[in-house]
Amino acid sequence: MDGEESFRAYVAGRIAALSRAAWLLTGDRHQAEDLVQLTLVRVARHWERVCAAGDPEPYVRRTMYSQHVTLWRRRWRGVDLHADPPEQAMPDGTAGVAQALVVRAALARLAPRQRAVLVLRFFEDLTEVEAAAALGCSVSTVKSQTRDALARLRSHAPELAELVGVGALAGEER
Amino acid sequence: MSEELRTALRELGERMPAARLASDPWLVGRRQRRRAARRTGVVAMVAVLVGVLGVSAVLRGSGAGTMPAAAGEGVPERISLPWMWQATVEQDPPGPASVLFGGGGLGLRGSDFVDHEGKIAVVGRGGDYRMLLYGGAESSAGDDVQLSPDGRYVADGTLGPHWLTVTDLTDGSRRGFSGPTEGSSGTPVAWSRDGAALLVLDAGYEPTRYDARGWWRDASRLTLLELTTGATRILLDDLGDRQSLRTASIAAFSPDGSRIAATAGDRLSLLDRDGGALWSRDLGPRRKLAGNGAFTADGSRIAVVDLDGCLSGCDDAALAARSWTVTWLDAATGQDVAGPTLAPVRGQALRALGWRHGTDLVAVRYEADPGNGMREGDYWNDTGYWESGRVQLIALRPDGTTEVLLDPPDEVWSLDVARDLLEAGSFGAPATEPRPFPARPLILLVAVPLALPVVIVVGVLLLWRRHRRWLRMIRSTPPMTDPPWPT
Repeated sequence: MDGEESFRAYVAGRIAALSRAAWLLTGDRHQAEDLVQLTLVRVARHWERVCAAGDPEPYVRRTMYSQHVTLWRRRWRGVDLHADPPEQAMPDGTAGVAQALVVRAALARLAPRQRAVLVLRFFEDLTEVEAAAALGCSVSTVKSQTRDALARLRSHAPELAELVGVGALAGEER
Repeated sequence: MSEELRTALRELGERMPAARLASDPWLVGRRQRRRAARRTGVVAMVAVLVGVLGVSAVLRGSGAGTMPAAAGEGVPERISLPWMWQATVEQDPPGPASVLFGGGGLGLRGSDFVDHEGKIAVVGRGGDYRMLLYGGAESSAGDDVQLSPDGRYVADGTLGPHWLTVTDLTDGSRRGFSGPTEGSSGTPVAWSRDGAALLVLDAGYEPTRYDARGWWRDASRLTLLELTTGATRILLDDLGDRQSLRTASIAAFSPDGSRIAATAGDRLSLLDRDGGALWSRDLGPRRKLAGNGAFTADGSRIAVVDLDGCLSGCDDAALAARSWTVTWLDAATGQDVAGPTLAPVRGQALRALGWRHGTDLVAVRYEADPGNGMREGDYWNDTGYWESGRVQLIALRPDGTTEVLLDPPDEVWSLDVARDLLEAGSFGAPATEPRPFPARPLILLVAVPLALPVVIVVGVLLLWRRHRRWLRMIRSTPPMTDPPWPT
């Protein structure tokens, strides 16, 4: 399989998961798609080298998370990260959906790196060491960012206390 | 509980369908990769080109790429003003010089705050222009900064830790000499023809006195400095107040170096190297020793210049209208003697440098500085930095004609020429322009303000272009509706 074929196969297999992570990171669908696009373009530039290292996943993940922070800093500093996103005006009476909305609104109020830490740790199920590698920071930074992110979630969305309570904190220690 | 957060995030994530890519990431990525490679190649090529051109320019500037000195050896037919940041002799020695010159303008006089007030340009025999810097003291070539007969050394007595300093133009090294009295200051007057000795004006060896107007008065005396040993000998005491001396006519060596014609007030004396007087006579206020090249080539006569015109209290017009006529004294007796009739020279002053082919008197003609007249009671020196206007190098032929050998720019107010070139008649050598490199760090004072606007404009343009490209890429995604709610 040549480089192009393997890249396309990788994209086909992983684009859904990448999109979900990007969505959680950005909180906005268009921005999530931009983030996925930028990430894949960047990965395509160095695909041979990425593959030569074995599993492309760590490189792709690291690229996406660093792009996310970079983009946020560069372009989306003034983006509408509403405490109450417009979608809130669409209650459908479903408890799960309501909770998802609250989680999304709470995530939107976090700093990009805090959001990234939560997504890596609780959505992608990475260990602290893996999360640190993906973000290019130390394990202790991951720990402190996670602790701060959860505390902020609890502060901004008391209704999520059950989600981000002791158990979640205990989950940090993995 | 963390499991519940995981579930919540997973449910939230499920709301996002697979991203619709605005363009094929593979094609875009590979295109970017090719562009980056091309850009890197261009940058590398430019860097190599700049490096090669820069190195060659610096090498050319340093003289490494110039023709051998002998190719164009001689006093150049034309001199130009040096760059403000022209490299110094110490920084990049030019080798033996043909000409020294000083004056005004940014190239020849700076501010001590960022540069040097005293700046003397050295023109190497390979055509390089280099500088001798004398912070705190405006300097005159041929006066307080003098070139040795072979052009290799420069003697100066301007401000510095030593009584007198000699700079070797071949390696930029400086050798300091001590005077007969600690704390006094020396000013070169004349090199011996073999370059082994210097006549030096010594001043400040007695406590400074002040006149009624509060001006300081320093006693001065003529000393002989043997350069090989550093020994000094006082030849003639009490030349008078240092600040009132006419420095062009203080003293001259005979061609063999055994005799010295020296002036004290209006008296001219012939001394041996121990200071013993062979004869002494009064010249009167209007006759002056012609300069440190006053002895004829065979040593039989001494040239003096007779002033026709204003002697004191002259305004600039009167100074400009002065005329100088060369007459002769018998070197053996001091009596007036017949000699070639040279053309009178109009100007504020005339200073004899030596003899071309043994027959033509080569001299510097000083023009008056417009608007700068002589005021009664003030210090005045016909060839001083503050008193002089432009200068010309001329040759007075025995047939009564005058030839202009070098006509420098108006900003050149003083000039000195290597005696060996002068005697050999090596004038009119091809001229070279001063090259801006190598440079002193002072160049940043000019380069940074010039480059800054360009850097800012280019930087803003690059940022704007980058921003536009980025926006184009971001906005190329077609608008989409929000994903459906999970059911």
